[in-house]
Amino acid sequence: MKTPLSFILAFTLLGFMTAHAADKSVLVRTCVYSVPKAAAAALLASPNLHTEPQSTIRTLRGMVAEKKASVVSNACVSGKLGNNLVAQAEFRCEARVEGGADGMFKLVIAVDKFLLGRKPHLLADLTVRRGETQFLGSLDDPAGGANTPTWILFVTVQ
Amino acid sequence: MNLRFVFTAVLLSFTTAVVHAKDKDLTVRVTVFAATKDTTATLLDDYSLASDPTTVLQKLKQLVSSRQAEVVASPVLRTTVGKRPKLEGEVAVELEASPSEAGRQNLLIAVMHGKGDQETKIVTETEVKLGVSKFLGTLEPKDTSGRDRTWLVFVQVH
Repeated sequence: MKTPLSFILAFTLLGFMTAHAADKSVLVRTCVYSVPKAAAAALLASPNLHTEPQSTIRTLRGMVAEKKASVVSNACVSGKLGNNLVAQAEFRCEARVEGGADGMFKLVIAVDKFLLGRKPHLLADLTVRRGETQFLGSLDDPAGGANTPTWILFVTVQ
Repeated sequence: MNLRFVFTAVLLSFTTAVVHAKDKDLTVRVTVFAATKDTTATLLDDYSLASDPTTVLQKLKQLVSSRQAEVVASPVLRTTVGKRPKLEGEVAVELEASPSEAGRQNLLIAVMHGKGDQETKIVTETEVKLGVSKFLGTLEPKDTSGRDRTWLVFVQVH
């Protein structure tokens, strides 16, 4: 059967274009707020925390503006899907992102903080939508007292 | 038309592109900006560093002009594919470039500041478009002078 040359070239070009256009890079951002324990407990008890995390973030931004809370970390790292991406800052974040079909990713992320021999840590396995911020969890210093803050974490995959 | 001829021509052009990429002399520029953690959180909330790093760079330059941010370091390395150059300074950079598609460059890269417990670093593998700045991630110095700041790291390859 004779196949037109133009069809073959078009098909090959389409294949290359599709492979090139496929987005193989992601950016993982972990934002950590430091909040006094009592205020943190109230925020963490909110039923909106998982369904509307932006609402909690707005509250936290207001608390930061009033100096009742602070941004402790903006750990970000961009890299290829399927690779271990590491950002070691105030907190150490190691993430692996898979997927990407229809904007949904599988994210495995570990966050820890070295504190003079103690290491509060968090490990999460989530499905996230590209660009959507999700509540990741909270951490406390295991040796801390009532006056030590709670750290509230959010993650975004872009 | 001979299908075998078309396939060979396509394969040959792809191989040539890869070989050409392997021999190419590359200049890798890392630019590091510093801003307060709060300013950085706002920037990361308002802009997409993954999809539009150019706009963020312009915004950072405005912040530098208004003294709300500063350029920490701009180390530059020259390398070829397969080599592992290193640079030590305000930030340390180690990288290895490997072949990628025409017009792009694959990088295995680590950017670090500080030593031991004070170390903050990004370790990742990413693909960059030649001549276009890409946001790599953040560093967060733990020394007293830098504690309240986030460093935003961009990479550009020519």
